[in-house]
Amino acid sequence: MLTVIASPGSLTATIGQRLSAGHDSPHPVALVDAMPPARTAPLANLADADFEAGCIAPLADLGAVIAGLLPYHRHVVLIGSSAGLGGWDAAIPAAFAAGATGLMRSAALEYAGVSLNMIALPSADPAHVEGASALAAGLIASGAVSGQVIVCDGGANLRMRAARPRGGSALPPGQ
Amino acid sequence: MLPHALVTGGAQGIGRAVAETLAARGWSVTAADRDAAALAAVEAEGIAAAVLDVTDSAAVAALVDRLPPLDVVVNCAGIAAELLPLKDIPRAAFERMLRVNLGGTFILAREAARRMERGAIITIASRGYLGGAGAAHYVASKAGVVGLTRALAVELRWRGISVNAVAPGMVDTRMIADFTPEMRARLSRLDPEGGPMPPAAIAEAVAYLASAEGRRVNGQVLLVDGGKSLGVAPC
Repeated sequence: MLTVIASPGSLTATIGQRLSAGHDSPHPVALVDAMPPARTAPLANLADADFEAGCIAPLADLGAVIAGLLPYHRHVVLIGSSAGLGGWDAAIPAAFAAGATGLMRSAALEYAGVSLNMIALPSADPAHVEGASALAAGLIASGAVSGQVIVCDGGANLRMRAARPRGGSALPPGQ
Repeated sequence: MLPHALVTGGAQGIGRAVAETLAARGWSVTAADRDAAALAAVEAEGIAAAVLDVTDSAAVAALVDRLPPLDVVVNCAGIAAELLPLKDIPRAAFERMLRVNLGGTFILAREAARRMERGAIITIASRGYLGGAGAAHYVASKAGVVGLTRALAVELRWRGISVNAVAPGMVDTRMIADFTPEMRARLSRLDPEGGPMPPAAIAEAVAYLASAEGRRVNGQVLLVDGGKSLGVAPC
């Protein structure tokens, strides 16, 4: 049995279709969309309501979804984001993605014998379907991985990206 | 002019130790806290005080507007809760935890960053951000603080603002005084320090990150936990 918690047409839903085609786990499996909302803006332009709708409410929702799934599923894979590593204009996605990681790790500790992990993607681009599907299938087949975040981006997070100074000159702090 | 720091949660626990440590080094410090009675004791030490609820963004904005320009803000205001399995955490308690610990950090960082010219933003996470059974909402809030810290470190650096987190292990504050004896005993058993450490240990880490030298550090999580984050209690 494969349970998919995702909006129709979302990246996670597509990964779910891919997984169910080759699904042969003897245990109930769940796949959950844990992507942050695509709200990117400079910190100064974010309203309280943006943070509430983009971070607080969806984190509480995700907590409720995981709590509802875990008693009945042996393997749960969250499809999340690598935004928690930090980035430009990413206060909300970063807070959500990192918060979801903490939630996932705590839930994994609470439910012994269950595997609960997160695949962290750099974006919701459909190009990630194949890599994420294969990784999810591997996590489910193994069952021995739990509480982990696996960044699935071809190693892109290891590469330096050029700084993007805006406005004035970049000053070292305190000088 | 003396460097000026705003410390939330500044009337008690880690926040008070931070306020006192910076003041002892010649900083001008404003301690903000929900607890007016506790603030009076801090004020008696010559530290400026302001009553503040960090979830009230209009109040945070008004406070930052009326203060002298800020060099450093330290977000120590936070809450913990009794241990509950994820399935038993009421929705309202989950959201409140996120609003205070994560939303409060977001609001203060935004209001400070809108006005600061350069300096440092220091957030208080927790060793617990790495995970902990029975406190999923607390862990989510503190892990969220770490993610926010990393994003803001990237975003604000060009303006000469460093953003870092300090992640304490168990500290002797009112937060853990509210824990049940069983929870205290369980946490102490798992703690390489054998029990809570004094708030001054955390304040020293904050003071380093607030210093001109410490502001070269950016986007990092400084764990002050006796090595508990290694996952093996070494004693």
